[in-house]
Amino acid sequence: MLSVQGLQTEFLTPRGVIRAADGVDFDIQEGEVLGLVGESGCGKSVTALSIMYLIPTPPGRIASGAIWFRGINLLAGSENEATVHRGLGGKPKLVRNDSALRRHRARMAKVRGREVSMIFQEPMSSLNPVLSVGYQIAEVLIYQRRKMICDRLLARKAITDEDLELFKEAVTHPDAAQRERLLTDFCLQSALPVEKVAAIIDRSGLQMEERLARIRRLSERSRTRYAWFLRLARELDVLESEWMTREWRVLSGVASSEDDRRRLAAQAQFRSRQVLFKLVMSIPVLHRILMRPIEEEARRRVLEQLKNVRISEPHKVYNEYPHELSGGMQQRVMIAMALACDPALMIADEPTTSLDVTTQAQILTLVRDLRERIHSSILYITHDLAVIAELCDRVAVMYAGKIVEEAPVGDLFAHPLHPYTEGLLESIVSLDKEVSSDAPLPTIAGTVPDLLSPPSGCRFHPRCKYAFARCKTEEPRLLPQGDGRRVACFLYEEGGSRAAERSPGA
Amino acid sequence: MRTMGAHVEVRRGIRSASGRAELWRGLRRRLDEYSLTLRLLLKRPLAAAGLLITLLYVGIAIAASFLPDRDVLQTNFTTAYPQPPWWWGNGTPGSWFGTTYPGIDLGMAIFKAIRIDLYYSSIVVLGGAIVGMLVGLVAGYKGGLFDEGLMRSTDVAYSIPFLVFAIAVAYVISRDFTTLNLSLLILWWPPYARLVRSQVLAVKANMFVEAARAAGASDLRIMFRHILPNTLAPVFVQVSLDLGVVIQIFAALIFIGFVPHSGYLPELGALIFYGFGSEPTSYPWTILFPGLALVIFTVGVNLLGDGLRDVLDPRLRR
Amino acid sequence: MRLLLFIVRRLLLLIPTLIGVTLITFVLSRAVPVDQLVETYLNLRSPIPRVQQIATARALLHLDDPIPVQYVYYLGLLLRGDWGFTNTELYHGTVTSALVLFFPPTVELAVAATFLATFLGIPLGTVSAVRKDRLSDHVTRIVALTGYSMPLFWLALLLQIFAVRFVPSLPINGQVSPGILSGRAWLVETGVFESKPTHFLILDAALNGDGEIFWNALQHLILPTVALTYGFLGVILRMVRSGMVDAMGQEYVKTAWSKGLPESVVIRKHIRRNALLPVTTVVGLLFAGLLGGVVLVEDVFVWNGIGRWATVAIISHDLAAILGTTLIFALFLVLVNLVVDIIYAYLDPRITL
Repeated sequence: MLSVQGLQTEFLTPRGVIRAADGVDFDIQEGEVLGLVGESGCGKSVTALSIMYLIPTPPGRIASGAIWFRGINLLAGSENEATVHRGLGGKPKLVRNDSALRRHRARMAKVRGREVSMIFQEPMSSLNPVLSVGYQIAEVLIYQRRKMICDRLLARKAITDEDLELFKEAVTHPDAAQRERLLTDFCLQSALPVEKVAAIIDRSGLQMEERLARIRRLSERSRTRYAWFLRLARELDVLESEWMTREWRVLSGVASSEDDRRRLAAQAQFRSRQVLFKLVMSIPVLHRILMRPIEEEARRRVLEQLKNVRISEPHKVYNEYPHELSGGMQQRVMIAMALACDPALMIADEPTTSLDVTTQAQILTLVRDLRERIHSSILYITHDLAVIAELCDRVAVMYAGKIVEEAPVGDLFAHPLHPYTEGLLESIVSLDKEVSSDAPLPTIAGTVPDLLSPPSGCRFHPRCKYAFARCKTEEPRLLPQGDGRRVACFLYEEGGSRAAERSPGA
Repeated sequence: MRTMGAHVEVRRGIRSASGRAELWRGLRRRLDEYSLTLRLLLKRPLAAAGLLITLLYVGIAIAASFLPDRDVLQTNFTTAYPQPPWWWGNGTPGSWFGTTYPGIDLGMAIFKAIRIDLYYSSIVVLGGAIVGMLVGLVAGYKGGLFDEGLMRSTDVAYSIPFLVFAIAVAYVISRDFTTLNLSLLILWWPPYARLVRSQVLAVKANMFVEAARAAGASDLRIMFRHILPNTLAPVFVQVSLDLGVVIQIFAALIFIGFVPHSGYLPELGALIFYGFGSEPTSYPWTILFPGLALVIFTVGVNLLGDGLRDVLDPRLRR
Repeated sequence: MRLLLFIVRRLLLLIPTLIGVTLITFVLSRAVPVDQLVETYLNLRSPIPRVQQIATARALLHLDDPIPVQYVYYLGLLLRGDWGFTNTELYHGTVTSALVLFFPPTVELAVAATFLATFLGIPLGTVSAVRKDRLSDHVTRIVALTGYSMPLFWLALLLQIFAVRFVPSLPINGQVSPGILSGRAWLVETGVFESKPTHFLILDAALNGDGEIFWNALQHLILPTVALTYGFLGVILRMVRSGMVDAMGQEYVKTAWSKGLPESVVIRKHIRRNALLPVTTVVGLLFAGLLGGVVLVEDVFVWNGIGRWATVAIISHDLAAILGTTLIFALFLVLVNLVVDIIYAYLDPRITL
């Protein structure tokens, strides 16, 4: 589903060029959880940001590579966007092609949030402090799921008896949490504004009959108005998706002439409709009124999402601000945001590193449960091997900007191939292992290499117990070892001492 | 940060030879920091230009004190009308910037005016900075009631617009330069106090203050030797920016007629006023040049201040 | 609800500030010789004999009581609206009535300049930050630099010269052309004009349906507003730009991009909304500078507002007028600061109350 090929991302600093990701290759299949593990500075985050096209330019630059996602290359066209020139005094300078960058970003806007999403390390600073938490989740839906929302609103019919039964249950059910859930379900089903329904339910001293009557009146008042606007918005979304998809295909080099024709047609139609849309949206009060039903529908769905990430009392939380939530809650909100549109891939960049241990456990449990229920694949980035062991199907180990080993999780832990992986596993202190009080804790000798001038040949060789002559001069390539394993080490190539250890069928 | 010699200095004192060596090393370190700042500053073209302009003006101010009083040409009635400079249309030879009513050579007058303006503005700004720093230092360090009182008084000071207050004070006391400076000074220290106070609060939390106190240093010593040097950076920036602001306020007040200047006062605001009084549409140079002198100085000082701000940002050093 | 509590608390904090401000004017008033002080309550054209007036004034000021008591009576006078009597050639009457007359034109200028500077400054600052280090950014920054580096009165003079030479139809003095003022029932011209019902000339012209004066007054507003705006604009531009640049480096902006939101939405809702917060905190201070600038502009353009009245007062030695203008400026500023604080608390949910 996702295939990263030869990704090279570099950063221009006053002291020189840093190749943070140097020829990274890996694949992610549908529905699997791939762990990306490595020390700080090895390039894991940079790889993730490159997939999302979030590398800040300047000083960064995606030098080369391809990221194939569902038949299109996400990096198509990126070679010309930022180039390195010799500046004054011989120092390398980054020259941006702003229009190309802007267009690429516009193309990515239809992929990010929708198909590929990301959650970050520090949830507190990753959330906008002046917007309510609920709105920030709703935003993704409003801008990425417009067609679905408009369809739902256009299809709204009068309230049915079935709906009313649900409503009655929502009022009378003994368990408070269940009532919350029923409220959300009812609102989703009947497409009624949540706050108003909640007000009717909470109003004390009313008979059921009276409540039902109010709900019926509310339903009457909430009939879909301005259908023309909804249809316009819907059509814009469809046209834009069509246009962008075709454009991706053309740029990725997989397009037919049919594609190109359709692209231009879609683009033209989109542009003409957009003029009208922008005109309408520029009228100050009107655009608020028009967007209101869309925002309401998004809100209903957000409440559903909040339930999915195990936030109790989603109504209260919706209106709260990031600083009013605990770290664990904030991260749940981020997860809800990332999964709102049911993306094909969710990238998690060290989501639990900044949380305390108990919260970390909660979040991990949540992610594990979500795995069962959602179809998304997950790229889980961390430096904590324990988390990898619990969560992932396969693991890729990175060192100094390159992938050095890749294997199914059980195999990796049971039988690590690359010396670096060996060292990592050895240095884990666990309750099972015997550790004498005199002997020093096992570590990997040496320090992380300076990426400005990385070691020659295999980047790990200065710290490697098994290094030999070839390691200093040549760079090992990532080669398959059978059983879905790959390793980049000369030990496993011709002439290496472990070449014989290859599994059968390699 | 300049923490390294803290405990050593405290114990050894100035009397011993090793203590003096320590002091000298501290000074050398400080000088190195300043020269680094200078070098970084000069690398940026705009900031370097700002520095150049500022130095130019300082040079003019100093040189102007040696200028003869040749600027009052004659009080002959016919040449009392402003004459354009020699390169302007049909100009009079001999004057570089023209003359203004009542018969003053603009070039000389501007030079002298720069001196006066710069002199008084520096007094206000530096004075305000020093007072503000002291107050902010003590308030931030001691905290408590003193701090609260400080904050309230800065609130009050922020509520009064400079111009109006200066007018009021000077009226009440007397309309001359000293009162003008005094009233500006009274309103000028609060921003510095606030600036330094917030810096002090940030620095106070650092470990080395604890270390110094544990080594037995007195409050005074801690404040001046350890905290103060680390709060200087934003003060420098603010001082250079403020020089531009004050000089403008100064000129403005003189222009309005704050200090009586009916005769001849070599001050930029006054010069503009003379031009204003004598039909500026026919003799635009009379207001153009003094004004430009002000503008260029302010631009220079702003560029310098901005450059300093960028350069002193600890993230960008080294 | 929390906003209400905040407003109440903020209003309470107002009291010490007000006391401080009135204390300052009080001290100023007592720093002059007694005769001058008494003069502030004398009406030089009144038929009442001077000796009697002096006696009344002395009693009013409680000059024989200890200073703290005097201060209390002083506050009482202020609250009663008795701020003294002004005898300048520009206006002759009680200070409070003078304020009523002179305040609106100043407000007109201040408001017009603030609006213009804000509505130009915010979008331009945004563009400057988004296109950082490109040509449009540099140009904008240079324009801003000239804006706040120029002496305001000099700019005003240059504008006048420019208008006279190149756009002769643009008025350069006063609020209206003198000729057209006669014969309006709602307008009384006694040296300084007094318009009904609001004393805001332009507003009243509109309310009274007087098109001629409306357009004329509007034209007269142009040059002084431009002069005032230019300097203000420079400062706002710089602040908005730096606020935006800071905000753009924040983590949550990355999140916003990662959601695939359109560029305009990210800039407006996520970056700018946060960037404008620090700008709001400084608006109060900026407004103080604006009030100082208003004095200069009014002087050059002969605009009969409080600034002009103050400059005339200083030349004619009218203490009552000077004290009055100082106080009213200070009060105005305190009010503006209060409003700004409340707006900020409304905008930033992180403010603890």
